[in-house]
Amino acid sequence: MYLAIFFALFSVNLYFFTLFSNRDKLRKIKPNKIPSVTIIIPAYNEEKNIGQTIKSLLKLKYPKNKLDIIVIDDGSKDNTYKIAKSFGKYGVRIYTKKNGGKANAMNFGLRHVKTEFVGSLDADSFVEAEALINMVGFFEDKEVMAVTPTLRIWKPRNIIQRVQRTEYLFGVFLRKIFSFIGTIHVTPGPFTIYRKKFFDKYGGYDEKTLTEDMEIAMRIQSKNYMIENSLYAGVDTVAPDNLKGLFRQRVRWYRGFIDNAIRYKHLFGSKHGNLGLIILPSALLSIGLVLWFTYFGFYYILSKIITSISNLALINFNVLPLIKRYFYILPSNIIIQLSNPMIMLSLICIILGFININLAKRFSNEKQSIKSAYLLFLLLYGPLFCVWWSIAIISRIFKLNVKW
Amino acid sequence: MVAKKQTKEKRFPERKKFSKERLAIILLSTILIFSAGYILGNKLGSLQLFNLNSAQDDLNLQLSSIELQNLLLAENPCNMQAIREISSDLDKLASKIQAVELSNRVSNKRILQIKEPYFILEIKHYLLFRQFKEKCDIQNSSSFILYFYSNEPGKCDKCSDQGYILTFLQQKYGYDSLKVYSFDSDSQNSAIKTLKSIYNITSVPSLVINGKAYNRFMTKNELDTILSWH
Repeated sequence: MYLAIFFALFSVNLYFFTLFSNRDKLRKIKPNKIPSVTIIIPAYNEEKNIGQTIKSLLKLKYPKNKLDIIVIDDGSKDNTYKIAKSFGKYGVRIYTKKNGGKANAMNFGLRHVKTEFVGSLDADSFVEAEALINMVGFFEDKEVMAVTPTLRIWKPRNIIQRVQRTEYLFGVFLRKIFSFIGTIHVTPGPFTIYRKKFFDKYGGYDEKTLTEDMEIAMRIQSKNYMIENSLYAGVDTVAPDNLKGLFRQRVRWYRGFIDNAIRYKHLFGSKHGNLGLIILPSALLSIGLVLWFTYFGFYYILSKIITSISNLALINFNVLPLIKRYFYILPSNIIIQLSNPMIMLSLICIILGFININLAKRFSNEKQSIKSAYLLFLLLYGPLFCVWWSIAIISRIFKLNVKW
Repeated sequence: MVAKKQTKEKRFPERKKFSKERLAIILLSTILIFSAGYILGNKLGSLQLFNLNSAQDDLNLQLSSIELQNLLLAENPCNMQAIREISSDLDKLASKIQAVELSNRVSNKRILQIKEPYFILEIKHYLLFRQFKEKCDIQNSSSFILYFYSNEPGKCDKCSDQGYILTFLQQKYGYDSLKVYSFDSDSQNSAIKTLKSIYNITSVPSLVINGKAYNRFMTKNELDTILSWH
C-alpha cells in the first residue's frame, strides 16, 4: 500500500518537475508560415452533431484558401449526408461510401488529400476558432509528425459526464507533460493534425485495430518522431451520458490499448527512453494497482457487511440502543482511526491531484468550478475504471470480439 | 543534402530521455515528501495515544477522590451521581482503546500496557458502585457483569460476539440497571489475577453475573432471562 502511494507521489513529482522546467514553453506558438491543411470528418449516423462540427470548422481563424474540409459519410442510415451536403456551398467536399469503419473512412479521405498537412475530426467534436492557427507552429520542427489538441467535454451535465470531465482534465495536464518528455502515445481522433508525409511513407490508418488513433501514435513513436501538444487548441467533444454508451466506449479503448501495447511491445525498454522506461511501464503499473486495490477494497467492504449482519443476528436485529451509542462514540473514534501515516499520505495525494486539475483547468480555459466533479471522480472513477479494464482484459484473454 | 539523407540512423531527440541527474532529483524529492507525510501521520497517531493517557489519568483522579472521600467520612456518602457520570466516561474510554486496538498500529504488548490502567479503573469503579448500591439503594435491582476475554488469535473465537452482545445489553438496560466490566484475561496484573481466582476463571469467554460465574458463551436471550430475574 505504501509502495502504491510512493509510486503515485513519484509520478506526480515527475509531472510537476517536468512542467516547471518547461514552463517557458507554455506560451502560444505563433507560426512563421501558414501551411495548407485538410480536415477529414468521418461520420456514421451523426446527424445530431455534424452540423455543429462543420460550422465550428468554418469558423476557424485560418485563411480559407489554405483550409480544405472533407466529410466522409461512412454509409450512414440517417440524414448525415443531407446535412453535410448543405455545407457544400462553403467549399466542403462530401463523399459517401459503404460502411467500413472509422479507419477505413479516414483512409478513403486520405486518398483525396492534396495538402501537406491533414487532420482528423470526430463528427461530434467542435473546435475553437483559434485551434488550428495555434497548432501549425509546432510543425516547423521537422521531427514533429503530429500535434494533439486540448480535449474538453462539451457541456457536462449529469454525474457520468462530470466524472469524465475530471478525467479529461487530468488528460489535458498529462498530455502536455508527455509532450515535453516525448511520450504521447495517443493522438486523439478529435482534431489531431498530422504531416501527410508520414502516411505516404508508412501507410494509412490501421483498419483492423479497435483504436486507430492510438495505433498511429505508437507507430509515430516507433519511428522516433515527435508528437506535440497545443494548450491553445481547444476541442469540445460530446461525452457519453449513459452507462451503456460509456462502457462500450471504454471497453473498446482499453481493449485497443492492450492490443496495441502488445503489438508495439518493442517500445518498452531503454531503447525508447522515457516512453519505454517510464511512461508505458507506469501506465501498466497504475492499471494493475487500481485493479488490485479496487478488488481488495470491495472484498474488505463485503466482509465488513457480512460481519455486521452476523453481529446484528446475535442481538435479534434490535439496533436502536446501539445507534444511540454510535453517535455518542463515533467522532473521537474516527479521529483515532484517521491519525495514521497512510491517511496523511493519501490526503497529500488527493490535494496534489486537485492542484493538477486546477492547473489543467487553467490550461484549457474552462470556467466551471470543479470541486464537485473532483469529489465525484474520487468516489466513482476507481470502481468504474476497474470494471472497464477487467472487461477489456477478459475480452483479450478469451479473444472475444469487441464492438464499436 | 547528402548528409541529411541519413534516414537509416536512429534520430533520437534529446527531449525524449531524462538525464540521470534529473531522475535522481525527482526521486529524492519524492522520498522527502513521502517521509514528511509519514512522520506527520505518526505524530498525529502519538498525539491520540497521549490524549488517551490523559483521559485515563483524569478518570483515575476522579475515582481516587471518591474513594478517599469514602474513607475520610464516617457515614459512607452515597455519591451516586458522580459514579454514574464515571460510568459513561469509562465507556467512552473503552471505545477509544478499542479504536486504537483495531487500528493495528500499536503492538500487542503496548496495547496491554494501555489497557492495564483501564482495568484498574474498572475494578475501583466496581467496588465503589457495588458498595454504594448496597448501602444507599434500597431497591438494589441493578446487576453487575464481569466479563473475561482474550484477544490472542485462536484463543477465543466467541469473544468478539460475546463483547458485541454485552455492549448491546449495556445500552439497552442503561448504567443504572446494569454495569458491564471487561477484563483481558491475558493480563499479568495482580488485581485481575485475584479476580480470576476468586471466581475460578480458567477459560474464555467467562462471565460473572451478580457474583455467579458462567464459564461459557451466553446468548442475548439467556442473558436477558437472567437479568430480568434479578
